Amino acid sequence: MLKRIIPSLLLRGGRLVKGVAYADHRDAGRPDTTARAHNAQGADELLLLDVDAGRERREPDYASITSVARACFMPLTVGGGIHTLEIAQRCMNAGADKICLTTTALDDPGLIGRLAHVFGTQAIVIGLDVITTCAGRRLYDHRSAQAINGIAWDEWLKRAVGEGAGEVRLMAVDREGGRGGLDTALFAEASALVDVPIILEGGAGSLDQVAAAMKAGADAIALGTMLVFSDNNIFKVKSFLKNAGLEMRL
Amino acid sequence: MPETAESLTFDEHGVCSVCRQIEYKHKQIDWAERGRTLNQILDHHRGKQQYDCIVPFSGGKDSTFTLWYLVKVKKLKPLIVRFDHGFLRKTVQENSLRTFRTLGVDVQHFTPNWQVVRKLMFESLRRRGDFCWHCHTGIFSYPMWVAIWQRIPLVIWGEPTGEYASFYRYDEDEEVDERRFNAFVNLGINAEDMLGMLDDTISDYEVTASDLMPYTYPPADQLRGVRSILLGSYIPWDVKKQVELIKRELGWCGDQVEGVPPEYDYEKIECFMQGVRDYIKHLKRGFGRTTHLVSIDIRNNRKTREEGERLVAEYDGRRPAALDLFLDYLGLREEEFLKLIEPHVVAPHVMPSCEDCMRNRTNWVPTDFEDWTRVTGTRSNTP
Amino acid sequence: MQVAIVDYGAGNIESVRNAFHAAGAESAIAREPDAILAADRLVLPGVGAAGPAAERLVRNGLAEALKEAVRRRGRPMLGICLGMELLAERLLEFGEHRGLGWLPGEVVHLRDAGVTRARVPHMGWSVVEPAGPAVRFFQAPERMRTFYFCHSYTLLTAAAEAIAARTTYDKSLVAAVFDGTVLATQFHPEKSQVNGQKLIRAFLDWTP
Repeated sequence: MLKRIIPSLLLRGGRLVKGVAYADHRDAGRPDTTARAHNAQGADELLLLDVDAGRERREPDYASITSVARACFMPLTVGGGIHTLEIAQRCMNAGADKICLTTTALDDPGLIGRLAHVFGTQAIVIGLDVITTCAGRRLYDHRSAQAINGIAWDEWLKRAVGEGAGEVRLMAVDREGGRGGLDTALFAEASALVDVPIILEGGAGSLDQVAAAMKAGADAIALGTMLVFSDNNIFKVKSFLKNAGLEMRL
Repeated sequence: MPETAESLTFDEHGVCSVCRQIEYKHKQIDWAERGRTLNQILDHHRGKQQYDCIVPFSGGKDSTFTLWYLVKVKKLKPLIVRFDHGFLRKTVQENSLRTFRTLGVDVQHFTPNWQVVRKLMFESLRRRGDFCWHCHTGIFSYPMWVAIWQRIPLVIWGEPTGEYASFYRYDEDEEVDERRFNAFVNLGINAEDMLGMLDDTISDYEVTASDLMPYTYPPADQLRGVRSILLGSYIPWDVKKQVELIKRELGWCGDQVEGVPPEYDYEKIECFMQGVRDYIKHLKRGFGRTTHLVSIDIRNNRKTREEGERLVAEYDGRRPAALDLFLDYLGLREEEFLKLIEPHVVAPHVMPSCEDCMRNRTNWVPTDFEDWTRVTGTRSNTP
Repeated sequence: MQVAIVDYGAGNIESVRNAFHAAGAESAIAREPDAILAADRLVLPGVGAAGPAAERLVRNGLAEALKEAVRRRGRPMLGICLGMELLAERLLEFGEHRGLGWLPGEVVHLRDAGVTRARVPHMGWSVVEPAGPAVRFFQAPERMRTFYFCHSYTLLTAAAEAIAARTTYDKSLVAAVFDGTVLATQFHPEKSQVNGQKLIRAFLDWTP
């Protein structure tokens, strides 16, 4: 099984941004030209999230999605503020291959099934933002920047996949941007609960950390900080991982 | 070579991919066939208009050989395009002049806006731990614009990537195109990205999209019909022979480079910031150019391990004199510079402290040190 | 050369059009039988549920037009993902549905095809092994002959000679079929970077 390396891009105001724990954002480039670079470097997929669409109660930035899709000859997953079938359809028309639902699915769990029915389960990704503190693991709502207490993260994971999500994007919020390493324990817990592919994200700061997570079983890792604020190049990342004994598409 | 070198992979026999590529180059390529293909390409373009092709030129060993070969052996009439990164040295200028005058060619020089370059150097250093973004992107983008403006549909470069790295191998069709530009040349940053990333840390000079044109790869539809190839795809690249040849035919001379023993005088001589580049590499990875060069010699039985280690101890990782100029150009203090490098250090290496760095200064300066410009172009912030 | 991409409400036409554009071919979108008949070359993409998609194709007269253009008049067709699954006789997804029936066989869930030790959907890049005359479409691959897969269902067919390529995902699965003037892939060439571009180019250059 070839492992996947997926750049994770956050969209804001027509530009890409990157920060720490969903805050303190710095400019990370123009969406389409950055996508072009990732495409040339052999990224396996691309994840594009419109961070503010939900919070600002507006539709996603379709123009940016379109420009990124044109540069992307690998699958593009789009997320952020997708709360109706019509919006999802517009995202697909703009060039998305998969739709990622995070807080919109929490608000309306039936949305998952409605979209899966039209686009197929393989096109629906459930995004789980999980924050781990000494109080344990909880779901996190990035709109309010607070942990969610109404439902346990693992119950929600099972429910969402049951509703028709074909893939999971598992983000360890407390690790994001911190370069402290990926949460492989969280991954292990999640992968024991569901049968669909899981993309792990949050905390990758060094090649060793990515290798460790993959050796611990993660098949797909999303990278944000590592690609934006250092001289890592996806080809170099994959060469390192291959040399570490992992099966990479190179 | 330590594991912090990149793009190489090791196969099941522990042989690195570059070695495999070189094996392939020597054993599996029908160079006669490649030579015929090159002739077909060149015949197609020769004599059709004012210039047969563009040769991007730095004055280093590769572009000098490439130019010599195309003019003397292939009888082409090229337009030379020379991108001035800001740090050209006396020897390379003299070499270039000798080459141009001996061969007889038209040359177009381009020196980009220094105020823009300063800001690009800083941002590139901050984000990538490599201050040469303007140079990497300018060298590969600017000649493509000239190809468009002058309607010259053939651009010929020199050395294939497979000689030293594995971004492209010898069994792949490498062309110097946008894909290659994005695959590794531009450090993953396009001019359109850089525009939003620049801030006023270095100066308040307002950079616009058109200021970044020299670093912007032209759009695909404007480059339709332009072919951008490597001479090394069609003739077997042999650096040693080529250096001997240009010394003999064009009086090309080597030069001292900071941070490497004087005997390695044939590469990286075009830029007086090379020492700073190599110093940064050492800070990040714990090894520098001397280790790299000496390893090649050890592998080829030209040096013993002991000799190699002695040279590494003497030359690798010393703080170069050029760093003083670099800091002045950007208005940075040494601690600030080191702080910018710190996040880019590659595990398991640990960067030395500021005091240790300052103490480990080089004990000689290259002969042209006084010629390196001290003009910093620092703007005052008052209108 | 007129390339037409069939739009029957089953997914991402834009990616396909974009990929064909990058490969040097402009394409039209075909929503009506006439548009299908007018084309020199056809592309049948598709993602999502196979049964309803097949029914839409039949209801809109597109299935009949495709049969005429491709099976009778011999126009080349590239089927992608659903566009390969639909060629089968039976589609066993949410009950049983009829496919176009151009190939014997049925489409079943990966688990029913014996894929038990890997996650479903099959989502990611996989090495493809071509065989037979279809090898012409897989020339000069990148270092690894990988393509992008994104599916929960797979084709089971007794027509061994039509199987153009296989991939291993716990079990050996059909990655592509080649029958008459039809090349159809389970994987997405429009999402498979350089290998995908080369396959699209090979399809465009092919004169059956």
